Amino acid sequence: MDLLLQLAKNGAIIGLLYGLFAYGMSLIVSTTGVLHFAHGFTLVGSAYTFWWLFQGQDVHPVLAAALTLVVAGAIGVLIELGIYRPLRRRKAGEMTFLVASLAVLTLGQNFLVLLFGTDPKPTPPSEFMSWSVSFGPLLIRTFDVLVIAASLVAFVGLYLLQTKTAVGLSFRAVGDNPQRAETLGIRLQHTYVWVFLAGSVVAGLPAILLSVQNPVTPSMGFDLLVKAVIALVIGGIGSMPGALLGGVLIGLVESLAVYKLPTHWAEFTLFAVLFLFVVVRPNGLTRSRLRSA
Amino acid sequence: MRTHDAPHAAAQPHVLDVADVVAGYGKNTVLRGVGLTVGESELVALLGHNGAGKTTLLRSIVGQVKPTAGRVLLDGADFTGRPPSATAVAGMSLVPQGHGVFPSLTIEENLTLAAATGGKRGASAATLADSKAFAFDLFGILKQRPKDRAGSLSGGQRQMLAISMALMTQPRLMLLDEPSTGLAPVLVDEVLAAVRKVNRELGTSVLVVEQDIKRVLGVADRAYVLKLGGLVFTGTPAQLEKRDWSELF
Repeated sequence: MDLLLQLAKNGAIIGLLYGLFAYGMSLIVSTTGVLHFAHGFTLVGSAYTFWWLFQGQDVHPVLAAALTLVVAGAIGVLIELGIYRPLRRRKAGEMTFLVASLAVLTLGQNFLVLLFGTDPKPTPPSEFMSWSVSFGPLLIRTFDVLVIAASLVAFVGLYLLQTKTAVGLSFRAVGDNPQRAETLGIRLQHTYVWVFLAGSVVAGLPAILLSVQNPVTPSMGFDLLVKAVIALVIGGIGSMPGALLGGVLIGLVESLAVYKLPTHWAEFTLFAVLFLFVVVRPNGLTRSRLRSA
Repeated sequence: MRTHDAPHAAAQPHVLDVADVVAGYGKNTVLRGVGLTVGESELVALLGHNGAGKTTLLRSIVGQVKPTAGRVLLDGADFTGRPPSATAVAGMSLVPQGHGVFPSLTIEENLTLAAATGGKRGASAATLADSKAFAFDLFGILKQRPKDRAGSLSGGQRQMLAISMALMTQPRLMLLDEPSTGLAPVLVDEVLAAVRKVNRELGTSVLVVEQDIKRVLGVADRAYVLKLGGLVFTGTPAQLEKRDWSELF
């Protein structure tokens, strides 16, 4: 029973990171209509940035984390300005956006392999990260506290952004009806840049936190992308509670599956749950807000 | 009906001046050289059958459709083919047919966004508060349910919110595309009365496209009738009443 509780806690914590990553992507997808699979590159690019700064250049971890968030935002904005905006000008179809997005992910991932090789890049264990405290059967580690704090700050921040600021309200308005938003004076291209910035900075958080927990690998962007897509199918695109629920559910399923099943069954269990959701509740737990690119 | 012995347009510069606009979609030309004006504080109705080109004309004015010929001037400045975001910031506020609100935003959020993004970006808080108070005075129902999502409102309430959003942008010119669509007659009267009140009390110039001819003529200063992409009538409602409508519509 104790093990089950511990696994559930671990699953929920990692699920929060999935939810964070998924919500950043969901924000971009629901506002721009672009299925932004290159979000996976934003994550892996940021993870390597953090590892390189912290491990390679001996930058203080707090400063390295701050710089990584800047890089994460810059990656997203550059993808918007360099790839999606020209496609939008040429009135490219959704499939073109999708292929371009996958191309960025694949090329970016391979570029990182060229730069850093394929071997995993661990960050060294530190006294700070080794701290833990027991609450009955539950062992709470520094990582858990950091994930909860980062998720809280990010989700509250994004909620306030989208309900209290003009730029955040314009994300939702453009997602609802871009033509109407334009006739109110909202410049769509500006809104897209802002939403890529916001969604990508959010992707920097799981990138940093995963980097201190697990070795950085070139495929981690793709792995997390798959989980984000599953989280969004389950939770619904454009919904904060949906992304959070979807992410935590995936984390729990992954973690709890190994309680009774061999570890390599975790992925199978995950896709079985996805299949179940697609059959029983194809629109997800919350209603998706998805428009054309 | 308002009196028309001193038309505004003749004595004062036009707020909107549309000249010889040709526009359409791809190879399909809808407007074949249309010109119209809206004067200071004037309420002008644009009438015509379905497919006459009324909505295309509104879309050409605000920049959603790029005219292939002709000019669109707002207060004398050329806005021909400028994007909708630019015409909106310059002071044109479109209330589109049926889709004027953002369904996932609350009533309050729709109004806040309109105030922050449209028209006079530099408007003072006091001016915006006045606009909001004016809108709530026009449409009391909006004041009662500020936290309701616009998507949960009825057709009439959405139209009221869309007009209120236009008000929050402090427009020079309000353009309404068939505000009565899908509304019960009593609501049509309420919406048109509100438009007239905005026009009279705030001095906002208005160009309204409407299918309900009788009702809109009751509030308009002047009217244009569009048929097959060309103008077939220009004049006051009184003059239009005297014409044989079978020729015009």
